[in-house]
Amino acid sequence: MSKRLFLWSIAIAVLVALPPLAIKLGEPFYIDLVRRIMILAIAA
Amino acid sequence: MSLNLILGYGGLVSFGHAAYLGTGAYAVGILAFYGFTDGWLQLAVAIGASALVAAAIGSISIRTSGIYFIMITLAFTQMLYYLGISIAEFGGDDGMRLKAKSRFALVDLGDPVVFYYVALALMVFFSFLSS
Repeated sequence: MSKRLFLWSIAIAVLVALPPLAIKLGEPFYIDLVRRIMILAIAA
Repeated sequence: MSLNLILGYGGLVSFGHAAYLGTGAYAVGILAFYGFTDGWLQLAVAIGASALVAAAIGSISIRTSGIYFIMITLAFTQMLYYLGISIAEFGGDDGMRLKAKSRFALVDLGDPVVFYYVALALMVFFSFLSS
């Protein structure tokens, strides 16, 4: 597995795990924040 | 990602990205303003409007290069910016607020977690597409 693919896998795993974690910690703000960053990442 | 396409692969420094993003956003906002909330229709109109504006701006800008290309794309972006803030009916310089969220048949974008995963899936898809 290349280093690039490995880093991508970790980044995606963290992003997938974020919503349940944010809800569990009572911080749903982070779901909105990261979603907006991802949308801007697509557009920019 | 779009910058990677034009700058990374094309070697063109463009300051016109905000214009295309804004055109698509205003297309969705104006449709929602008039009660058209079907997401697929909004998506098609947003892509079509942005592509049309990009084709018009691109057909003129591509005749230049270097600093002139940067300046002309910036100038067109500023023109569209002032057009956007001059239309009082659509919020003027306060910006436009969506009257209603887009509705898709299979996904409920009103749910923030669903919306998050849709954005994540699109980001991953377009990242791999542009790499």
